[in-house]
This record gives sequence, structure tokens and C-alpha cells, in this order.
Amino acid sequence: MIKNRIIVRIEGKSPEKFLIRLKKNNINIYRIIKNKRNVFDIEIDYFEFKKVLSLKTIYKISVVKYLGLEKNKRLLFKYYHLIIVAIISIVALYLSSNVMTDVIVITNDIDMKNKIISTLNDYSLCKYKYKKGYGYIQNIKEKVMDKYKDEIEWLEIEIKGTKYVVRYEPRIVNNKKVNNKYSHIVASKNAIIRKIFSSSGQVIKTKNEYVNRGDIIISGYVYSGDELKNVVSSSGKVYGEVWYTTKVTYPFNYYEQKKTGRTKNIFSIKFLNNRLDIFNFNPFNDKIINERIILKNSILPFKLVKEKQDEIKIKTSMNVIEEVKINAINLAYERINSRLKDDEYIINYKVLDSKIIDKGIEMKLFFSICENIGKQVLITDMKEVE
Amino acid sequence: MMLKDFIYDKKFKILLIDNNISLLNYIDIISFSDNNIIIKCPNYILEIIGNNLIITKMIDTELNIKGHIDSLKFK
Repeated sequence: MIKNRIIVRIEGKSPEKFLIRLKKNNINIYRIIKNKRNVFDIEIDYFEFKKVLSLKTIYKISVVKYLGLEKNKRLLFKYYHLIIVAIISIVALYLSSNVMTDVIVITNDIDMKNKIISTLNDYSLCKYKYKKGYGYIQNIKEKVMDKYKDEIEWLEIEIKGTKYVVRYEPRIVNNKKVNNKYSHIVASKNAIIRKIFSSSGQVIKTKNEYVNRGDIIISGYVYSGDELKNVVSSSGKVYGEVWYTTKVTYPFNYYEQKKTGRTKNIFSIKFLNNRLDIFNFNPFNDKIINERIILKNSILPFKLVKEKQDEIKIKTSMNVIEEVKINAINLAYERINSRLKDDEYIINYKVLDSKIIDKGIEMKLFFSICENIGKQVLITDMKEVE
Repeated sequence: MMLKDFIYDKKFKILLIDNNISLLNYIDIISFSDNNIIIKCPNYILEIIGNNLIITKMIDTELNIKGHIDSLKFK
């Protein structure tokens, strides 16, 4: 049985007689402490307290202490607001750490991203839903992979804080270009042919031969002498030397930004275009910011972000003409190079013109590039095979 | 002794340890003061004589008394 008692103080002339009276009324006294000559503290059951008060007559009765259940009950009532706040905090903490805030699919393929998000949505792996367990996620992973088995090689769903991070590897089908229709490989631009790799069809142009745009290089018609033997879908790669001219301007002013090595992580509140840093006492003058969204509202333009700030030092100066010229050439080179694929490269370049303008140098450059010029086109005017 | 008798022992007992005296299954307290406590027991009246006598516990079946005990008188 749960203890539920009270210590009361009895004061008056001959409290011993009162104790005997209590005993005669079948009130159990579990402890008697004599404080002074006419003062006793007695421990009784809480439910007997009213009975004691009704028997008190000339004695003064006061409560010293509550014990057991009654004590806890009174504490609960005294601090109920703190207890409510604590309970609400615990619930809020539990919800904020168990309710998912985002689903991130790491890919550049927007179609696939939407497909995956929509499928996960069907299985309740989405925003504002309760965090799912490892077993459930593995099960869903299998289902998604099964649904998109032709498009996904493997897929991983990871829980990072309150976000699902989905990584996947697209399935590369090597022989996806099985084209049953007949086609030629033609030149997509004017060029001098440098390399031809043919896997089907008949090569009708030679290396170092000049071709115009639209000229057939690998034909779908396969001849033996003058006799048409077969019509195929030609395939292969044709690399040709093509030429570009480009114009760049480069300023005399030199600008450089360098990291100082000092970093800090801060929290920031963003509302529309305004921002408020929280506890950022010594803000950096110049910085690079990498931000991670912690909280955002889809209705209000409000965001709580965690920022990693790297302090930078900006250096500006004036350059001499020769340096500017070199930089302009490098810039043009990088621009052209960035447009090329892995198997394409710059053969040569030449400065055609260079003139000084107000703030820098304007330069015209000529580039010769080895580029894939082959383009597959369907045969529209079919010849009959003899 | 049966288990029932062991648990609900109704026999009157006096337990005296140093300056503490414990009475089990007494009937009533007739009077008490610092020097004298008179208790009604099933077969007799028990008078405890001493100094600074204090009743420390008083429930249905048990009575604990603490203090310097000089003598016990059975009437």
C-alpha cells in the first residue's frame, strides 16, 4: 500500500491525554516526537487528519509536513506549470527529432528525382511524416528499385537528422541505341576529317578530307562495287578539325580573394531579403557563406539557416599589359575548353587581333579544335537492295 | 505453529531492548507521563516506571516506549 501520511503538531495542556484519546478512537500513531514539554509531533494517516481535527477540543493542531503520496500530490500542484512546460518541451523535442522535414534526392536528372519523390510519397516517406524505421526503409528501397529496375542500378535511402537523403546510380544500358531504322552518319559542321571510327555502315570519306555540313561520312547503304548489297543503321564516331573565333575582354584591374583560415558556424534567420545573425558578435567583413537550411516555411518567406562562414581577404591591383594579354588568352582557352567533351581537345590557337579599350584589353582569337562532328540521320529516300 | 497464527499473532508480548520497550497486542493505555505509563494488558495492568518516558509509536497492536526504565510492575 502506498504511504500517505501527515505529521501534525499538537500543542496544549497535557497533550498525552489527547494522544490517549486518539488511541481510543482507533487512530494509529506511527511516530511520536516530543519537542517541548507540551508539544508533540505525531505521524498519522492522512485520511485520519479530519478525525483528529474533530477531536482536538482545546488543543492546537497544525500541519508540519506531508509524507508519501500526499506530499507528491501537493508538489505536483505547486509546480504544475513547470511540469506542463517540461512535458510540452519533451513532446516538441520528440516531434522535432522524429518528424521528417525534407526528402533530398541527389541527382541532376529532374524527371527521375520527381519519380522517386512521388514513389516515396506513396509510401509515406515524405515531408512532415513520422520518421520510419530501418526495416521499413529497406523494404521501400527494394520496392522503388523494383519499380524502376530499368532506370536504377542501386539506391540508398539514408536518414540525416530529419531528412531523407536518397542516392542512386542510374542504370546505363550499353546497347540502348539499337536502332532498327536505317541511318547515315553525316557531318554536323564544316570540318577536315581527322579520325573515323565505324562500327557499321560504309565509310565513304577519308582522313584529311574536307567535308561540308550535311555530307555523308558513314553511309547506311553498303555497296559491293556498284551493287547495293545492304541497308544498315550506320554507327560510329567521326572527329574533325573545326574552327572557332572568339572575342574576350580582360580588365587591367586585378582581383583576388584568399581564405584567411578563420571560420565560424552561426545560425541566421532570413526573412525575405533581410537576415539576422544570432550571436554573431564579430562578423567577418568579407566572407564566403555555405548555408544549410534547418527550418523553412513553405508559406511564409522565413528560413532558419546554419551558415559556415569562411573569412576571405580580397586583394585588388592593376596589372601590366603583358599579364593581361596572357590572362585574356587563358580565359578564352578555358571558355572553349569548358564546352568540349572528354574526347575532344584544342589543337591550336592564334591571336587574330588585340586592342586596348577603356578598362582592359579586347582580344580576338582563333581556335582549331578536334571535335566529334558525326550526327546520325535517318535515311528518308530508301533505295531498293538489288 | 500455523502460518495464520504466525502472521496474525494475538499473544501479548513484551520486548525490552536497552532503553526501548515494545508491547504487542496490548489493550489500552490508561495514563502516561514522563515517569509513569500504565497500560492495560489482556491479563493484567502493566505499570512502567522510569525517567523521560516517551511513547514513540502507538498503533492498534503495537506500542513502543523509549526512555530510562527503572521497573515494570504487573498488577
